[in-house]
Amino acid sequence: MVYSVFYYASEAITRFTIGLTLKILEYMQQRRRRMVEEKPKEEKPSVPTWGFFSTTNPYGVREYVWIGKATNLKVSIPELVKLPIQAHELRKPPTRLFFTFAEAASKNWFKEIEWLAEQAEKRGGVAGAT
Amino acid sequence: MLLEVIVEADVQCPRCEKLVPMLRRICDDLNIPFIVKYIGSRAVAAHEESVASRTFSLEWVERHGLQEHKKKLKKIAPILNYMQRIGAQTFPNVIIRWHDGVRPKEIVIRGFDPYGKEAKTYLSNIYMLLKTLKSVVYRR
Repeated sequence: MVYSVFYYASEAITRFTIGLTLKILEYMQQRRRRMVEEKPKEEKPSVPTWGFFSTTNPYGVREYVWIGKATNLKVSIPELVKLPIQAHELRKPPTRLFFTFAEAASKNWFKEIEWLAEQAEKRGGVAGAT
Repeated sequence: MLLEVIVEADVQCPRCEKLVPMLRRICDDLNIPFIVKYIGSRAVAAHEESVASRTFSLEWVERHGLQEHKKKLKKIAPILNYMQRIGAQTFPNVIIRWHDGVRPKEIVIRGFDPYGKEAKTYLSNIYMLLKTLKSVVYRR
């Protein structure tokens, strides 16, 4: 019994001393290399400084302004509006009239051109002897 | 371009060689842009949509050809075979292209015979046509 008391007492003392030394070593190591923590950054709101910007000019018309990135360039482009004019839309297909050498050399060639043009109008495209 | 003249030609074509300077002179006189496109025998010309439209074969002449052609078939046979083999093309093709304000329009004329009597009327016809087209297109 006495033997066991001494045994446990000595074990407790060694455990305490070893634990203490380990704790001291750990503390010293922590002091030596300090952990650097990243500072929280402040997020700035992104404002574009270059590119296309849609604005309204003093006359009340919408327009796009191109502001250059490296150059001090400012180009204003008016907004594209589809004009309701008939000529802008290519409704009729391109016409082609075909002739041979003999036809082109004949005296009635111009009459033939007129007639073929009429035929092409009706067909809406190509006409002629191929 | 509002009005232009294009000639599709081949480098080895003697008819093109005769026609090009004459047309160039006409166009220079009328101050119209003139372009010569040298295209090979295998290229697809203005008047055709694909190479499949070329019918120079003996079988075609036997079936659909005229009586005159059938009579001369024996003589023509080797030439036809050769043309079929190389995929021969008709040259020159004169393309007169103009824009009337609404759409582009074209007149394509195939072939030219510099030795025939018709060459003179052909050239004068083209001259007249270009002159009238120029007055219509440019309004002068």
